Amino acid sequence: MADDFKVFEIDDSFDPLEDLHIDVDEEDSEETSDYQLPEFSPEDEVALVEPVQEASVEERMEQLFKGMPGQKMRLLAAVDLCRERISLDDLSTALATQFPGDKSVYSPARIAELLERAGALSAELEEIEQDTESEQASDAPALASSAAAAAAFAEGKEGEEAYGQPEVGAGVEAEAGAEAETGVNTEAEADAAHEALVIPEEEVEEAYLVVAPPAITYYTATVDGLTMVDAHMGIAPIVEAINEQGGKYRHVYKAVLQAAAAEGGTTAKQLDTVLEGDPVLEEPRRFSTYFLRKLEEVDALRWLDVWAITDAGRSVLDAEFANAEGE
Amino acid sequence: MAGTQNFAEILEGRNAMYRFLSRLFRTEVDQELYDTLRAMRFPAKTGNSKVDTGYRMIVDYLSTATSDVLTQLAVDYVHAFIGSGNTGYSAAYPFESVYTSPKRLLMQNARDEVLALYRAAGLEKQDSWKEGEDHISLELEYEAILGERALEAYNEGKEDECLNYMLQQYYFLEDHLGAWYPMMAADMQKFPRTDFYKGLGVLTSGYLESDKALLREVLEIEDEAEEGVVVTEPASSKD
Repeated sequence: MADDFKVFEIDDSFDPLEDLHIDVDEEDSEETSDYQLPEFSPEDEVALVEPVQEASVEERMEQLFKGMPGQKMRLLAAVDLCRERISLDDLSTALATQFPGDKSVYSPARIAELLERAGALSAELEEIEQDTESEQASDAPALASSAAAAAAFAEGKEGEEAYGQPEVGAGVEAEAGAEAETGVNTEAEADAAHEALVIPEEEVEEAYLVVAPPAITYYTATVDGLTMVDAHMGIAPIVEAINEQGGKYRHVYKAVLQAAAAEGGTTAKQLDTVLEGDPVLEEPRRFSTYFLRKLEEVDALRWLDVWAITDAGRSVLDAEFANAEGE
Repeated sequence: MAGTQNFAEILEGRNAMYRFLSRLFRTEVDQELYDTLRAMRFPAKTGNSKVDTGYRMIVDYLSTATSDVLTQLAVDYVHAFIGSGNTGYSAAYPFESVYTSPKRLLMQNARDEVLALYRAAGLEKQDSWKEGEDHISLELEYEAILGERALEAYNEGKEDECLNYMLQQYYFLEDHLGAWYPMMAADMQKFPRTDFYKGLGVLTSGYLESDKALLREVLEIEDEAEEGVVVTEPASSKD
C-alpha cells in the first residue's frame, strides 16, 4: 500500500517552463510584467471621489407625487396633520375623516412611512410597558419529547413527566424524556424526578417567549415638509389654476366650483350639460373632466362619490368671484 | 391507566403543531392570525434547538414589527414562496414536485403520489384550493388529519388503529415531507427577507425532525438500517 502512494508524490523539482527555455529573472520580473500598477497622485484621489448628492425633500416629495398618482393631496394632508406631534393611530383617524371612502392601497401607515423616508416627517417610537397581568390567548404548541411520548404510551408514565403541562415548562420536556429513557425504578426516584420537573411559578414565565406589544409611533412634520404643504395647499395654488392662460377659463372654473359647492355636489355628466355650447371650450376642445382634474390637483375639489368642493375651494369661490360680474 | 390522558395530550399537541405550521404556509398572515400570534406564548426551551431558534426568530420579528406588518409579511410571503422568475430558482417553492423533479416542475410524480395517498385516506381537496396537492401546507395538514384520526382511535380504545395511523404518519414523513422539506428549508434561508419566514423555515425543520424521532420511539422503529427501516411490533400498554 505504501508503495502505491509513492505514485502521487509531488515532484517539487518539476519546472513546467523547462522545455521552453524561458529564464525568469526574479529581479527583472517587475519590469517585464505586463501589468503595471497605476500610480495615483493626491489630485487623482480628489477627482475620483464624488460626494453623493442626496435629493432634497422637495425633489423626493415630487417623486412621490409622480409615483402615486391621485395621492398628492392625501400625502400633503398627512404632513399638514403632523404640524404637531401625533400618533399614527390619530393620524390614521384624521386622514380617514378628511378622505372618507378612500380606496387607495396606500394605508395611512404606509403613507407616513413614505413621507418619513422622503424627509417630510420625522418619527419617534415610544415603547409600551409589557402588561404582565394580561392573559395570553393560547400557547404555541410545545414539543413532546420522543422518549417521554413512548413512555406515556408504552409504560404508562405519569402525565407531568411526559408532556408539558401548564405548571411544567416546555424546557423540561427533554429532561422528562431522559428520565423516562433511563428508567425510574423506585418510588423515591420517581418523586425526585417529578419534583425536578415542576418549575417554580416565577420561572414559568422564562420558559416562554412573548411578543412585545407594538411601540407607538409618533410623527412630526419637518420644516421642509411644511414648506411643501404651504406651497401646494391653500388658496394660492387654486387661484393660480383658475387664472391659467391669462384667465381664459375663469368663468368655466367658476361654474365648476359653484356646481360642486351646491348641496349634493356634482358629476362630470351634469357639468358637461352646464358647459355645453361655451365657445371657449370649442378650440381646443375641452370637457368638464379637464377642469375637474385641474381643481382636484390643487385640492379645490374632492371625489366623495360626487365632486364636492373643499374649504379651500369655497374660500376661493367666495373671495375671487364674489364681486366679479359677467364671469 | 395513568398515562392515557397524557398520551392523548401528546397527540393533541402534535396535531395542533401540524395545523399551526400548515396555516402559516397556506396563505399570507391576516389580521386574525396576526392577533393570535401576538397573544400566543412561545416555548423558549423545547429541547430542540431548531424549534427554539425558529420560535425566537418569529417572536423577535413580531416584537419589532411596524404598523404595516401585514403588508410587509404579505410582500415577504411573495418573496419567500412565489418569487419573480421562471428559472425555478427564484423562491422556496412550497411544492414537493419542484424539489423532486429534475426540471423543478410543478405537478410531477410527487403530486400524483400524495394525491393517491389523500384519496386512499378518503380526502378530497376543497374547490377553493387552486394549487397542487403536493403543497407543503396540504402535506402538513394531511399529517394533522392522520394525527386526529390516531387520537380519535386512541380515545376509543382502538390502540392498534391508533398505531396504524401513526405509522402512516411516519411513512409519510419518511417518504415525503422529511425527504424534500430540508431542501426547501435551505431555500427559506435565502429568499425571505423577514425573520418571520426564515424562522418558520427553521421551526418546521426542527419540528419535523423532532416528530419523526417521537414516532420512531412510540412505534419502536429501530435506527434506519442500510436495507431500510425495521419496524417491530409496537408495545401495548392499554388494558
